[in-house]
Amino acid sequence: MQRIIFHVDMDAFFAAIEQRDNPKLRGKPVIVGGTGKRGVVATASYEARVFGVGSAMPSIQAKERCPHGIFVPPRMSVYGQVSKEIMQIFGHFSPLVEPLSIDEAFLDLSGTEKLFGPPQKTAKRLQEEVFKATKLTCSVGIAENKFLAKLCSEMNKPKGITNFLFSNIPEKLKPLPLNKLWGVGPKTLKKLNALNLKTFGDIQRSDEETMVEHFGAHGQKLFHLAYGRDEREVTPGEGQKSIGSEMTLSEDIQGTKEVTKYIRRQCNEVAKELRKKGLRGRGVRVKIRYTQGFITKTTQKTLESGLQDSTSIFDIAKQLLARLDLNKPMRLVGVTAFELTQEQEQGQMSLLDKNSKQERREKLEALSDKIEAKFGKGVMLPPGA
Amino acid sequence: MKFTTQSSELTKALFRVQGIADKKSTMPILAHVLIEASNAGELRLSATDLEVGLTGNYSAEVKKPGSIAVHARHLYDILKSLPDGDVDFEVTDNHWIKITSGKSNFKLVGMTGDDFPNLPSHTETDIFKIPSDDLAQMIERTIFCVSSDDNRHNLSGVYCEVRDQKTLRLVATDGHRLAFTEKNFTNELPFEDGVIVPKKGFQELRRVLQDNDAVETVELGFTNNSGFLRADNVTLTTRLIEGQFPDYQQVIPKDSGEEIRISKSKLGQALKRVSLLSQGKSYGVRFQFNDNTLELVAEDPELGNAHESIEVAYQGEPLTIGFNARYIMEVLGLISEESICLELTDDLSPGIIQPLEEKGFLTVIMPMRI
Repeated sequence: MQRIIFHVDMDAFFAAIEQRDNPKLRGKPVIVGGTGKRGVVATASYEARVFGVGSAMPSIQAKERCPHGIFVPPRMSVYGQVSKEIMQIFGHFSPLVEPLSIDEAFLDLSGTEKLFGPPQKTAKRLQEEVFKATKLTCSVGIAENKFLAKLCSEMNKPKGITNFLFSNIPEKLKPLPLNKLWGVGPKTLKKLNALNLKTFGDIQRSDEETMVEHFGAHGQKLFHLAYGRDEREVTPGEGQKSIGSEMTLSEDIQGTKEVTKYIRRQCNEVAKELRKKGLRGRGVRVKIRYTQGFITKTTQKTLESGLQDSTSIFDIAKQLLARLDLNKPMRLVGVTAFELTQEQEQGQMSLLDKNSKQERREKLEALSDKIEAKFGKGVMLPPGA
Repeated sequence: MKFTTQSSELTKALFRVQGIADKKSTMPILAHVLIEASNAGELRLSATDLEVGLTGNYSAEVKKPGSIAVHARHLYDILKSLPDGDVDFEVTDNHWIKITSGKSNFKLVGMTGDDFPNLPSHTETDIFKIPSDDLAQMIERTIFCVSSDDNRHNLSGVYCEVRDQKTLRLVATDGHRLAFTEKNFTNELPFEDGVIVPKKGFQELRRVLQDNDAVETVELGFTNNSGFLRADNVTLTTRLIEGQFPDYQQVIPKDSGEEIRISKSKLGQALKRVSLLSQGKSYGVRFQFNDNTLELVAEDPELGNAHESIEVAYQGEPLTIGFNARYIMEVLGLISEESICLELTDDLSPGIIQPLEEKGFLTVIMPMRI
């Protein structure tokens, strides 16, 4: 059976959301990103891209190129919410959805022609559903594998549908420059250029042995990709890997007491999120960033079983803080729970830890969640919050 | 040092210390066995891993007393390859050992016996004697529940205590199940506080008892931090585990639930078959009780499922509960009677398994969520 893979990529995602939510921004060059000295561009609207503004460009440079551009600070929580919505819509088309980032995903639609009709039509419908629900547009690449789908989705942006389901793929790829090849970064590109390889066609004309000789196993992969061959499956995401809370402070802090105050609050937030999602964290990580030199330190611990209550997480976080030098000014503190596991694992129940402290704390905090849900935030506060 | 002994006698003595001589230790001397020959015609072999130490006395024709430490494994491999008969031992300069048997000659490098760590002696301790068969059975009935989790140090041994100076109690738990056994003895047991004997200490004692049927009584003694066990010519010393053993009486349910009489052999065989299809070899098996029938069910989404029903005496409300079949099968193997009694309250509470008639042995097992 022929594989049919979609790569769906939202068009200027962050900027489009800002324009949607604020009519005054529509039709204008919008640049989402930090405006401070150290700020960079996250996304630029198509109106701004005309002036050569692109992602990851320092904001100062963007301002030079597009002086009348409107800078908007990013609202990550809003984007995250919209991202969830669109991923859900993708889920209507296939159970095999592999999110690549906040605004793009692979969908495996092999064998769905009977259900949805030809892929071209399905892509159109997907665009319509996304637009109906979010008022945002996206571009779709259709091909028989992930690499080609991603390659072609960006060819007709915005609102494009590019279909690469034809037979003479290698021929079509020949003129493309090698920075379009998956897994080629600046370093590899330099090395490739030194070997006088500049296009897909150049690699096609070389041979597998030469590529392996110069680039090892990676070379073999590049050789096959240059012919448009890619066997990787669409693997639905393994879910969230960590839940964290961190904060860049408006003013520097210093000393154990000060840091502990913030950490306690962050443990509450992390624990609440874990409970909301029905997860437990087996690992706890604490992160601080010193103002001087912008040096970030993290320290972490992995436990035997997962935690879900803020007091237990805080106990571990305190142990971790003791390993760090807290007597220098800090500009950021954070706590993360990682190695997340499902709440109720199938398995052996414990004979000895039935009424452990942890279990009692969990019950207490779950109860406090319920009370908050009924009477509003802040009616129940854990110690130190 | 120079002596002559029987190869079979020495092979047996060396076999006993193989489990103790510590090959993985960073201290090379611990992989060695200490051989001491005395003027009284006695040969003493000792080994230790600093947790458990074993000393055995054997007879030999001693021509020149002395001591030497020899690599336990190498010496054992040599001895067991020799034919029955006399073996001559001689220590020459620089701790070389000459081993001669018939026309075979070996020269093995050793270490000075002075470097060997001292084993604690127990001359001052009250000791008590109990029949070795009884102790062996009590160890057998608890040691399988000892935890192998390094983080739960206090569970890594068998808890021993004496009640009313007559009753010896042994308890072990790994946090999922708990085994309890007790026995009354006619002689007085002069010992009060509970101690935790490391698994290895009892394991090695069991080994000594197993390869020596002639031993009828075992002597036991405890000090604050070490235990002492003697069977015939072998003395075992073991460090005791520091820490608090959990309150086992709290764990053993007091309110008796539904008591269900089941055939041991039928249950054991059925579990063996059904658990073949338990999920991911977890041994998770569902026990479904309903009107004098117990149906055992195992399912693996990738393999398939297995069902088997057994007649039992059950008239209560239908009850479904999951157990690790391996835990149950291990207990069944330690019960001599044909009928067992399984006591259950509900699917979230621990179950109790014990022989139908015999008193003094029970296992508490926590259910599985299946």
